[in-house]
Amino acid sequence: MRRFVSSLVVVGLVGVIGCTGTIGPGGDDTHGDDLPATVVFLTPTQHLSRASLALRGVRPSIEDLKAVEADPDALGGIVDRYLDSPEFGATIKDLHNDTLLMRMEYQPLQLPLTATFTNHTVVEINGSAYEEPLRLIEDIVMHDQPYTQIVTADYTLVDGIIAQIWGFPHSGPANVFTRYHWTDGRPSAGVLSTEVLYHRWISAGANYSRGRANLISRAFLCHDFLHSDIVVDTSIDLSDPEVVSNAVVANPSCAGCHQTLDPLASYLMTFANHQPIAQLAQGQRDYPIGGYDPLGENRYRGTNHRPPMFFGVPATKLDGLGKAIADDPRFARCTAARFASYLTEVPLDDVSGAWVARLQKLFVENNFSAKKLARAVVLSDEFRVSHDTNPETADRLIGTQKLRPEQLSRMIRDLTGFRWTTPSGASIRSVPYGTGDLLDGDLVGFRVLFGGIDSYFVTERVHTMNATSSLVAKAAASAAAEYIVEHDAVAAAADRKLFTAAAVGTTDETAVRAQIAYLHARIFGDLVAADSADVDQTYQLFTAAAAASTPKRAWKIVLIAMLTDFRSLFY
Amino acid sequence: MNRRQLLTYAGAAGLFGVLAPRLRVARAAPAPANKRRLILVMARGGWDPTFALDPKTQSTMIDVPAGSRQLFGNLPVFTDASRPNVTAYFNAHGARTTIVRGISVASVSHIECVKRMATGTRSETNADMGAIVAHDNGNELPMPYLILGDTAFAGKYAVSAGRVGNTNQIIALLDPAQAYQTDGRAPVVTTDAEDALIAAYADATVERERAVRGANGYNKARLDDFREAIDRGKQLKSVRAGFGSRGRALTIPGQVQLALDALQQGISQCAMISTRFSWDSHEDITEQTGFHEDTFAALTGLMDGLVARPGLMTGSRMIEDTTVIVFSEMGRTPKRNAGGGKDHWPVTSAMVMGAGIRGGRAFGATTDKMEAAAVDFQTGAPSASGRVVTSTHFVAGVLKACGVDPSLHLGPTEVFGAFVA
Repeated sequence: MRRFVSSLVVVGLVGVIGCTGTIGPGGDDTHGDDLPATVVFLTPTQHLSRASLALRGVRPSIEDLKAVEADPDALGGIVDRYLDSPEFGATIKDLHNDTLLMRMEYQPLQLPLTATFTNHTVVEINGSAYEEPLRLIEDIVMHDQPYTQIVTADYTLVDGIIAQIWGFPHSGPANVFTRYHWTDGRPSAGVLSTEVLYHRWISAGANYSRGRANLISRAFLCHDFLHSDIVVDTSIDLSDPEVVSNAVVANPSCAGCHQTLDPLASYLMTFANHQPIAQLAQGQRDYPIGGYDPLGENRYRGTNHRPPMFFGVPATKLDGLGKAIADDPRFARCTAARFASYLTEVPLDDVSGAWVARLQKLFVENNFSAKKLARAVVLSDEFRVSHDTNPETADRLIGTQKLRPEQLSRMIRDLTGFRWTTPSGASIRSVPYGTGDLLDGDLVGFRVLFGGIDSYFVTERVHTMNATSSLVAKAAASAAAEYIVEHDAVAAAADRKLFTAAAVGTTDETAVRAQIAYLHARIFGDLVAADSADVDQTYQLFTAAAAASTPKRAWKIVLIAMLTDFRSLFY
Repeated sequence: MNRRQLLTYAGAAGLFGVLAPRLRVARAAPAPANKRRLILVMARGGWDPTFALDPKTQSTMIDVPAGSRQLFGNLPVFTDASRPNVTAYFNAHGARTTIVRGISVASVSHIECVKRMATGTRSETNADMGAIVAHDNGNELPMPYLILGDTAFAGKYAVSAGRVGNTNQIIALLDPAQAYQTDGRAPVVTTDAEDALIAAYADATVERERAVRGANGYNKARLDDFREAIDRGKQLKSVRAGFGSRGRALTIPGQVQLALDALQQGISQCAMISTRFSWDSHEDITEQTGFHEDTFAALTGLMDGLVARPGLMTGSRMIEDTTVIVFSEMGRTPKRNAGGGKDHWPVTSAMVMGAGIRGGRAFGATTDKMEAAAVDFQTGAPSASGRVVTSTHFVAGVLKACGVDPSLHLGPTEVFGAFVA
């Protein structure tokens, strides 16, 4: 009934600005039961643009826009194609980095750089070593293996750098990743078996892997032990490890959390990398390091005295832990919530419980297919909300999403062929920093300044604009405009990337308007006629800029204006 | 017209008067005298208050470093010849400094404690002290909340906050001469006239979007932020000299100078600084001697700068309108562990300096076991009938000291205001 009322309320508005619907446009049974009655949905082409940017970080092609404009039911098939694209794989890595926080440039926690890396740059090493768990997840998702494989797989992805670090075999070009099935006896537990995870989440000596245990609980089960308050019993001598070990078992003020946290941590003591890392840092040895240490399976006996256990349920070794996680209903629910949150920019705790329950059910019923899950998210009513006409509830409805730095980078590259990078003269322990992607780094780049995370100090994204993000957008647009206009100005017509409807130097109004209409479609996802009001406005900008300079300069100004426009940065 | 207004009109508004009408209008009214500026200095990792702020006696219950209790006026501090910069700081600025002891954060997790001490709440989506004071007291400035350190929480005031980057690379966005090149090619440098065209184009979009789907709620806020951010970015460019060159923000003295410059030049209302040390001394607590030394040397520089530089009102000094908070998210265990380090402890101490506070004394207390002691919230003295000061109470007190109503941001919480003048 509420849905019926919703349709009545908004029907007068949807002709121009959006549409209502009782069922997801892809035909999925994805009712937005928790949405307010006054919600207005995106038009089909707007929905396509949002799906394209959320899943891939790039704008839809004009062909796809026209297909959906002609037949809104075409959206589902197009989304299926997006889910098979490499850009979706990149998004999967971005999504999981928000949880695992692997992409950091915080030097004290990075692998020591030694002579082994003489032929590499810091950018290359970071882009390889710390991406290993993310690449494994990407591989699992893109090959549509059950998502549970992320904690049960018996292989990882290795390139030349990872092979050098951990002593894995690798053949072929150094920058090509290949699957490697572990042969050192380590249990098969997907990312839980990737050693770099434990290096990133290194455990302080007396912490006994509790931080790692909480990472796993938080990341895969959405259960964060750290959200609890603690009251320290000061009758305990915290300087005595034995006393502490007893207290976390027997003292009620400690055991509440530790009775489940510590047994989880007991699984994670099989990658003891403190000593080799210290030796590397002091120049006493070189890579490779690491390897599975089966003796670590009993290390709990001398540390926390808690046998490995998964929330009170016995599970053997790391592979048992992985399977227990995969079998826990919280795993599917947490995955559904994280996908929904990431793809809608709704905070994890605010995602509709009813929606998550529907997504969880679909996810499980489809053999834990992450592609099916992502598809369901972007075809849901909750995803395609445009705005709420009720001021009372509009604050809670996220009707516009801001590009993340990773998306801005991919969008500009897709539109113009331009990658915003710069060489750095810096070096770390004699290893050159290399050429940094200015939207994907923190030492020289602007990842955090555009609202992204650095995976250590800044772990929450900013989904709105501020002074620095505005400046970053302008700088990126200015660099891209310079590149593409100069490129297309001299390229043969067939080789032009963006100026397909008019040559850069033309001043013919018909041609300029046609080119502007093309740019509106590519940059904004708006299919507009060359004589439309939208094109009029951009044409006025072109002519005003050209009056003071040249057509080439005017196009650069037009591109900067469009790439920094609200319609470009938000979707 | 006060100094900030003079600088503002001579700089940003003069160059971008057409582009920044709303910000300029908001700036026209002088701030009340108690609407203070705020500099936050974060010692991330968990410091050991027994090294200076919370003098204790060596016992079977607590391990303390070398040193003894020394009074600076009415302010007791733990000092030692091995920490001369600590002594020098309190000799110079003890009368302007308050120590708040025994703040309970009720957690031993860095992430949890950082957000609790910075925001006074349990959610990282809430704004921290700097973001709140910046928004309420100086939102008309180009970058009200200048984040020079690493961790900060802007919350719903994100549009008012900005980071300079790990190597102060913000300058590459502000100064065309220092802009990054890609493949040897420089980006387009737009003229003021071209910027005006681009801004007008953005304005037209904003108005259209507002009419179509941004009339209220979340969408309206995003549109407002988008447009406001353009103005703020333009204003930042007009004061770019204050940011210096790349690499400036790497050290705490560099951050101190940048913060002082930004506040003095009317760029920012608040600044967040990091000591850049990892105070998480699990393996060797003695390393905190060096951390204290370098930090207190920088704090002396910060306070010297505030005393020397002109304040907002004619004839005043920055120290009269600027409050400084130095804090760490947690403390360290009373006893050393087997390795000679100290582990996490859910009770900490903080320093509050400068404007709006009752300097030269300490408030709050810890027990001999470093537990947070119950105190009287009016006097700040230990009291059997009192309550423990939590991070929320402390943050509320800081907001009050800065002229901000804590209840507007933290809800109906009790304010630990004993240290507020």
